Amino acid sequence: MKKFKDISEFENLLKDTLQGHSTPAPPDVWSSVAASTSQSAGLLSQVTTYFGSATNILKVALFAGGIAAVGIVIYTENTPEINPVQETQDTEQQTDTISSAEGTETENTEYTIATVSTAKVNTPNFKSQKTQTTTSKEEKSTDLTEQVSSTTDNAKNYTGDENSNTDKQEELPTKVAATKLSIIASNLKPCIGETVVLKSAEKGNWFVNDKPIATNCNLIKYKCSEEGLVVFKLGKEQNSTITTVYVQKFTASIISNKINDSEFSYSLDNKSIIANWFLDNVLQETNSHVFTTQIYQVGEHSIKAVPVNNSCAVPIETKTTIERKGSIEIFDVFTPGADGSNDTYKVEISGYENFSIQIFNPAGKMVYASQNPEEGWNGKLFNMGNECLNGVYATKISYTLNGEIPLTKNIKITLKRP
Amino acid sequence: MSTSESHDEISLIKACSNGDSKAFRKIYEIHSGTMYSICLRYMNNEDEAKDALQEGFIKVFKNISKFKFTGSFEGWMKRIFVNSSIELIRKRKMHLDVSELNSNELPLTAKIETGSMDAEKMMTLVQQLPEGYRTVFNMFIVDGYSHKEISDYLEISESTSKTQLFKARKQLQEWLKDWF
Repeated sequence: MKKFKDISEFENLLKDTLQGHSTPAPPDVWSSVAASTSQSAGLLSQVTTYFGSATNILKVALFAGGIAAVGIVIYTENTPEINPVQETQDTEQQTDTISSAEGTETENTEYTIATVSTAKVNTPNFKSQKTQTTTSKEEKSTDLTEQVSSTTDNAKNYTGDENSNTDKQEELPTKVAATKLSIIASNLKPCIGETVVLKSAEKGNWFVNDKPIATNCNLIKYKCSEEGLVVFKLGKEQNSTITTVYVQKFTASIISNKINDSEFSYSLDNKSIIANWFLDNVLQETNSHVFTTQIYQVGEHSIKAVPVNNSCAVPIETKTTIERKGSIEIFDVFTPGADGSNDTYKVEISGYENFSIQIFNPAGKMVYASQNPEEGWNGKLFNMGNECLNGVYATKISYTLNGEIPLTKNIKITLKRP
Repeated sequence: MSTSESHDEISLIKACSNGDSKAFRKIYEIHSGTMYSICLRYMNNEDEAKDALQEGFIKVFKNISKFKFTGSFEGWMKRIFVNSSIELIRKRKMHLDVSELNSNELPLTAKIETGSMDAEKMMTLVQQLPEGYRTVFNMFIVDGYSHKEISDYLEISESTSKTQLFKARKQLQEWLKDWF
């Protein structure tokens, strides 16, 4: 079973997996799509639209008396064609809607007059009904109402299309004239160190916090050096205009908190900041104000917070040093029986996770091996056989001190007996 | 994508904007799988995902002439499908239901306990999230919308969006506690 380090690792995997994920679409979807879209494609399809909307009208007409709402609900649900699709789409969208709406309406009128005239449904009447009911359908209807009314508006525009176009064209120059003595700043909330570009359509004299800084120009660059409000004034003859820019300063630092020898908690002193947290440049935690982690490895570690909700923020870093917990001392001379003390060879080690020692005689044969540093070697073959001779003994010592990487040392011990 | 492929795509889109139904069929064939996955992720059952897929493709067809070739076509389509899924959810007006959350907890944990984490399993996990959590989780984590955008789309506040995401994460962590 695969394990995840944390939720963000899982989320990243999930994102990568699901973004391009593909599931074969059910076979019957295409036929429905094709049926709905063929309407807008050709002449034949217009007939479909014709009958489609005709049925709706009929329904509206039949229910118009008592149970108007029901009939109209059916109507609105059966006409997804009129709905503009994406809010983001602008003018072109409208023109499209206009033409399609215009088309349907005409057809409706014809049909109504021809067949259901008894139901007293004519175009203007029908339109108003549509608007009414959509309003009465409370929940989803806000956009629908807008859409319907905009369709109606558009239809008007459509008839007076040329007029409205000329209107727009005339508006434009007036706007430009009005903006002549106004300042456009590239950034109203810059950070310290950033440069703000201020432009105006007309040249003039510039003041920053009432101090003149430039004359007869239409563009200045201002480098923000300290926090606070900066007032830019542009003057020309009797006219003047001002723009204010607020220079933001970002300050935050990491507060470290040691929970125990290997567990640490970090937070930002600025409570409004959330950050992504890195331990030794590896992302550990996302979008959080605090970060708790275990650090076991001896040495210096970097903890970095990259703020995510402040545009002026810069990464903040702090260091945490894990002190050595263990120690080792290895001797290379061994003199058993010389002075009565020091009769065993021992490695002085403390704060360790594992330890092993192997000692070989000059001929390459193992004479001692142990995983217990307390035990020591007394100079005899495996501590119980014959005494080993003087000479140089190759020794391999492997150990891991707490919080450190495993090490192996190959040394030579000189055995000297008097 | 190689140049020839992208060229193909451009001509397909252009043909489709001119009402070429074969081109549209081709676009459907290329993209329906990915788009169906998106719908499944948002809708949590096949019938509703089918509806969202259908609505989405109708919108694609009607609006393809407005595609400006400024961004990726797939990205443009994805947004449409996310939109139509959200629209359907809204129509259905289903809200976060605590009982739904509890009833799903046991069988799901059992389902994901064994084997490796694959796309199918992730899909199930996402689908099992309660509606409110799921939409925000999908939009934020998988489809890369910001909380601001989510709040605009769903007409909720940014903090609600964040809370929903937090709850979704918590729920996933609960379900996946043996995986961490």
